[in-house]
Amino acid sequence: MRGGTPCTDGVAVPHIIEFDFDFYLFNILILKGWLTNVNKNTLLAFVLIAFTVIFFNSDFWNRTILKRPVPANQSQQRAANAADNNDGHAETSAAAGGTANNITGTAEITAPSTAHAQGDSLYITDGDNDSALALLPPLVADTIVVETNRLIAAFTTQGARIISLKMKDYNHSGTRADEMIDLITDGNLGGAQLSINNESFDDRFFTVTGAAGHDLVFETKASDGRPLQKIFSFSDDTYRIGYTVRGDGVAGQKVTIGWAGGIGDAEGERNMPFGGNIDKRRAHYSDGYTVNHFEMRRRGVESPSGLFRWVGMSSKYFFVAVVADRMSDADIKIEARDVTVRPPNQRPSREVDIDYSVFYQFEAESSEVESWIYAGPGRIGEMSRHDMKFEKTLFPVLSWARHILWAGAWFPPLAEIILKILLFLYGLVKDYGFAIFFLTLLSKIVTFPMTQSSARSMNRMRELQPKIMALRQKHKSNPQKMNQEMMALYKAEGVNPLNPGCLPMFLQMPIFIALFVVLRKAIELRGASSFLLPWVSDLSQPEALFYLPGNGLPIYGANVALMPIIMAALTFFQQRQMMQDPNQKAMLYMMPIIMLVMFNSFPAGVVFYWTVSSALGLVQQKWLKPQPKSKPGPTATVTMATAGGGTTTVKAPVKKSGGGGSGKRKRR
Amino acid sequence: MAGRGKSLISEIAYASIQGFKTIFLMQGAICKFTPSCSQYAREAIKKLPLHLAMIKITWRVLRCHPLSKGGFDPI
Repeated sequence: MRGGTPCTDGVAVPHIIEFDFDFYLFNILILKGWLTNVNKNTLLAFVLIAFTVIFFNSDFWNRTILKRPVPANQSQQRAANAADNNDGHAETSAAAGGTANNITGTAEITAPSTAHAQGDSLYITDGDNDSALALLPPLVADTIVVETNRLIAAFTTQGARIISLKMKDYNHSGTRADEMIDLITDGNLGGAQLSINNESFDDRFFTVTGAAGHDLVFETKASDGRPLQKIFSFSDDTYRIGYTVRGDGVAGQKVTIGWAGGIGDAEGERNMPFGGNIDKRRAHYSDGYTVNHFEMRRRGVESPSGLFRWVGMSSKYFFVAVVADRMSDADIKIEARDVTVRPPNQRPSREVDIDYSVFYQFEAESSEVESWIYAGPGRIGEMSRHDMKFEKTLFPVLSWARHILWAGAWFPPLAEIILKILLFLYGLVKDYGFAIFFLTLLSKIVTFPMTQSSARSMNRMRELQPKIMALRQKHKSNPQKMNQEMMALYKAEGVNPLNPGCLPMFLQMPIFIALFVVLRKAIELRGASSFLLPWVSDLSQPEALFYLPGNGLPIYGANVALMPIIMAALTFFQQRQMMQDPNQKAMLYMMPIIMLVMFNSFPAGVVFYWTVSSALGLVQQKWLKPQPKSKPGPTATVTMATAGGGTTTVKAPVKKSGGGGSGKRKRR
Repeated sequence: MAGRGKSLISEIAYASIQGFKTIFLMQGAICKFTPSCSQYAREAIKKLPLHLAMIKITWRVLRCHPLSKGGFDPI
């Protein structure tokens, strides 16, 4: 949970609370508890939670205790910097577009005519036409733009770093929809850093000495006068950039390769109060088999050492990794720093975010050090083709959640399977709306044995409600007696034998949670629309039928979404059927409202899944009309332990299980 | 004061279980036992030290499966 009070313009802006899903859920639970039994303690619990939320979003916590620096002028300056960088990048790409077809520059640069021949996809162009590319180190940094089928990369000759990396297939959303996403947010740092024995080469001027085939060669002189080359090689259709360091003085030295520029915050423009769009960056490192994940909440450095293969970082949808040629005994440095995300034309949605710089240091065995960089989308097919377990960064289990029943071991594979099923279904129907629908159906089928008997015993319970109420009234003063009587009633009415109990409920939960996480995180849903939901333009974003004026209602937000309304209605309907306890009357009205508010800012895909799931549950319940009570069932002898320690034997009719579900099956 | 804190925690636990049922659309699950698992949890936390209560609750939930007979099982 993070947040802050942005007061950049001297105007008080209300707190914008960002929740993790888990935290948010927890809150809802408390609310519900409060409504269920309004007693002093629960009320106190609720107040305590509210206080906690406010406290952790307060200046006092964020600034005074965590020492998160967000002075107003600084953040403005950073925003300005970011804007400048963006402009710079826009120019670079314009240069790329302009010169792609008529390659200008010197002979070295026009060399990649071979690249043209090899599929007409790779261009290496000189972005600045004026500079004469002599072998003497130039004094002004030059920009070289490389374009493949997937990427447009801009290099600077100062340090031979990547200063901009745009993905052709991924555009920003919202008002910047015609702009490609740049994975590098901070062009001053960029990617592909190099230092040898702690001597940094990132400010040294390089010259382009060759651009043959798919390779781009930068050269400079090390401090001992020997030449040093940085060679980048591209391929047409992957997000892999080869990164080789070659030099006589390299062998036996400590070489540090890195990616300091962080990872782009593509969704930063969106402005959502709750859960919908948390785009936290995470750092990962791996030996090529197991992947370690972590996130840092404030500035700092982590430096694990051991046998590692790659180190990288991910945002919600994208992933960057620096990969060594082989597993080596490496020192990894992961630096967390603050970045400011502030779109120019919107109120600040989040002031400070954490971005990472990663470095991988190892001892070079020869004069040539080969490595590569993956910089691209977190698309499972794209990631797994490199055989580096990149795909394990998609659904990491972090912090406390890891300790719940070994979640770290089983949750990621489960989520991966669900994602693969989703993609498979998409392959069949070519529409993500339908794919989610069928996925929900499938999840209902998988959990059918559990929900089926639940639904059935729920119907029985509803039937018994008057009797239970009567019992409650009768034994108000003696809860133990009431319990016994209720047990006897359940036995007599045959509720229990049908009932799956509480354990299956917990067993279903992982499936629900995994579905939720997949639908929220899958890059495939980014920008996807559906034939089934014509008013939704993007399944990964909250839907909006129309917008409320201004900033909308607090917490609810400015958009008015249709599906949460349907969902709230369904919940209301279902609860009204279930509930005959007047003590819970408030719940009947409040729970739908809570759901309405909560789901309003959730991605449309997630809400769609939840709505379908809810509707199917209702259908399932409706279809199973309680069987007539008069029907005589077989009797069974049940032994029941009483509180006194003795046993009573009750002859009770047992409801036949099975049957009754046929209607549901016919429906499918 | 200690007693109050404990009953507070017990209310939170009770509310959590109830809330989970609604959020995950599992209101149908009815406990095999009396008192129900959620009430059991509430009582356990109120009466026992927290770690003992957790063990008892876990054990109770594990017993509450389709094949169990259920029954009267107070804390």
